Amino acid sequence: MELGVGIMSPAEVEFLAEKELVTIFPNFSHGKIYLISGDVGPFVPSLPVQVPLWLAVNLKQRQKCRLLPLDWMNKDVLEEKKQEEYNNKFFTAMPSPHYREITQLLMSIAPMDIPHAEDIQTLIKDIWDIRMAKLRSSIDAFIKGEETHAKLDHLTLMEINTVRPLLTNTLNKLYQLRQVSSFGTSESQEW
Amino acid sequence: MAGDYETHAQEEILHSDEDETELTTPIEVLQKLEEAWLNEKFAPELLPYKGELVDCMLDQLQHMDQNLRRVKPGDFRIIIHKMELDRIQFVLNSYLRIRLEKIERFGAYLLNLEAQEEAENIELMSPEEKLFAQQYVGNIEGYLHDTILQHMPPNMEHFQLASVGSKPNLDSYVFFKVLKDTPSLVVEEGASETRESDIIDLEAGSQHIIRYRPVYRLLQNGTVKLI
Amino acid sequence: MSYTPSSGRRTNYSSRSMEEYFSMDDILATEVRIPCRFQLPVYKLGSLNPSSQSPDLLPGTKLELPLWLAQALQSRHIVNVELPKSYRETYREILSADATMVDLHDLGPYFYHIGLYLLNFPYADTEEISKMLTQTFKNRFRKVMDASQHTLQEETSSWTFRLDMLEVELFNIGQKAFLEFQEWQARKMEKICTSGMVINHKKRKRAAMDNIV
Repeated sequence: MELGVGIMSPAEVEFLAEKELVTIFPNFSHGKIYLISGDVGPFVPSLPVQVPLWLAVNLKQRQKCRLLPLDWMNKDVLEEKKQEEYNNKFFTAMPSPHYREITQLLMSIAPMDIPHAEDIQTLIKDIWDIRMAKLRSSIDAFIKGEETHAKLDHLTLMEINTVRPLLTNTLNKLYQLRQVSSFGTSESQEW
Repeated sequence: MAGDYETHAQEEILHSDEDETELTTPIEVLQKLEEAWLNEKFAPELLPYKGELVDCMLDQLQHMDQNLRRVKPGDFRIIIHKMELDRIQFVLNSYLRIRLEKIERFGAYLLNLEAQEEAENIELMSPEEKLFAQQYVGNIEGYLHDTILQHMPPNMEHFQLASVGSKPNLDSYVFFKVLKDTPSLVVEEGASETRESDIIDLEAGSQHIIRYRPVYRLLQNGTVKLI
Repeated sequence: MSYTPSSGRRTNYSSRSMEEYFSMDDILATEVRIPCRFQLPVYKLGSLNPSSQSPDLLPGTKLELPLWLAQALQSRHIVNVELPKSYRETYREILSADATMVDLHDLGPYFYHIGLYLLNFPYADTEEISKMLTQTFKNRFRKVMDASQHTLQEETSSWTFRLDMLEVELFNIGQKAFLEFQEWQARKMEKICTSGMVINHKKRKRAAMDNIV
């Protein structure tokens, strides 16, 4: 895992996604906990409480709670989303800017809390594949065109990050080509 | 059932900005630190050092650490607080390491720049980073001298890393998100008769990919953030 | 990273960045020979020209010189640098017909890299060359991108041998990001794997032990 300049690993994208709030049903009691990033709790058995995803994952792994699936983790909702994404030439807004990471995390630690978990996983993967194929075509069109910038409003960070190194390096090279050619013939300098 | 000690985070932090006194909550500091981390990660150049944010966060971490020591071991809260501390530590470490990597890449250039920046009252590198830059550049030049240069004919013996002109590439492409509405940004100057200047409007919340150079000022004044 | 682009045009050595100064790719690329025609005599170096007995290099002599030397001599008007054949009109036409089919490794392997340097010489068709470089790159890009977003298969690996070094670099960059994502999906990133070296060492040790017994 590289922590370098200009590079972000999928794990780091997931790190950011873990700040998202999810609802859990604790099986323990505890008062409020005053985290630097905000207060959580109090925890009352079987009463819903919102916590950041990283905390929910930890509590689930320690078998201290049950997770409430997010409202878009629903077979019908996702079927519709998949159709919408397929039919649309452009990228549609996703129910969460971290849909891929959240699904992956929840599926790995709490599939039992999510009805139709396997179907949902497949649907999310299908939606991802449709969007990535669209992204590759968009990138190709962008490279071939004369544009110097692009707007990518509904792309999620994980999607952007997967193409980031290739796209930025390619654009850098193209810019260099443009610069040299626009100067036309030039005097070579002394060295 | 809670122990005698509440593991509170510092509720408010007062920090003075010259004559101004600003109140910032820990959440805001953390958010700003994360933004600074990502900006530093994706910017091709070294950004000004966010000393206040770093020091503030370190204070928070120390405060929390002290609180945790006073709590009975095995207390339920300890694991949770420690996890959060680990997360914050990760961001801080990454922020500092990325800066060091940049200093290694173009340290000589930065040292030259530092003199300029001082005149404008901007702290580009922290005192520790400055020292690191000087030592790093000195080490490399010394190494090259000892292994190769001293065996060269006298007129080739001089070599300075600064002369090789290592500079960050400000024309690299970056992804960014717009925080405040900004009309009429010039993306690329009209270079010839066939190319007119590209001008775009930036709406708050939108995401773009552009060369770093047209937006670096917007980055510094908080209009956009890198993603 | 060995292929970091410069912040400006590459005209000569003194204006390059450190990464380019120490760049392996640039050092290798500028070793490529370029045809040059001598304008001025160069005394006592006649031995560099295998086809002549003269002790000096006479004006009009054609020699192939490494790019780094050609550039220096051109700026002092000692030689006139001629356009290598892979950048001439015949090849430009082949590339515009179907860029994806051409073996750029054969024409190069630093086709684009050298091409950028060549744009600084006062050729008559500099503009066409620059258009050709850009168009070729753009047309071949899709294949490079698509290939990098799949795990390496037989056909892909034989095709990658026909790429220019820049395209290879971009392919590797794309592959790396793709594989990282795949690994994250498979959650491998959380586990620390035993290094291959350690596994092999253990195997060898065991074999050695077996031999002793």
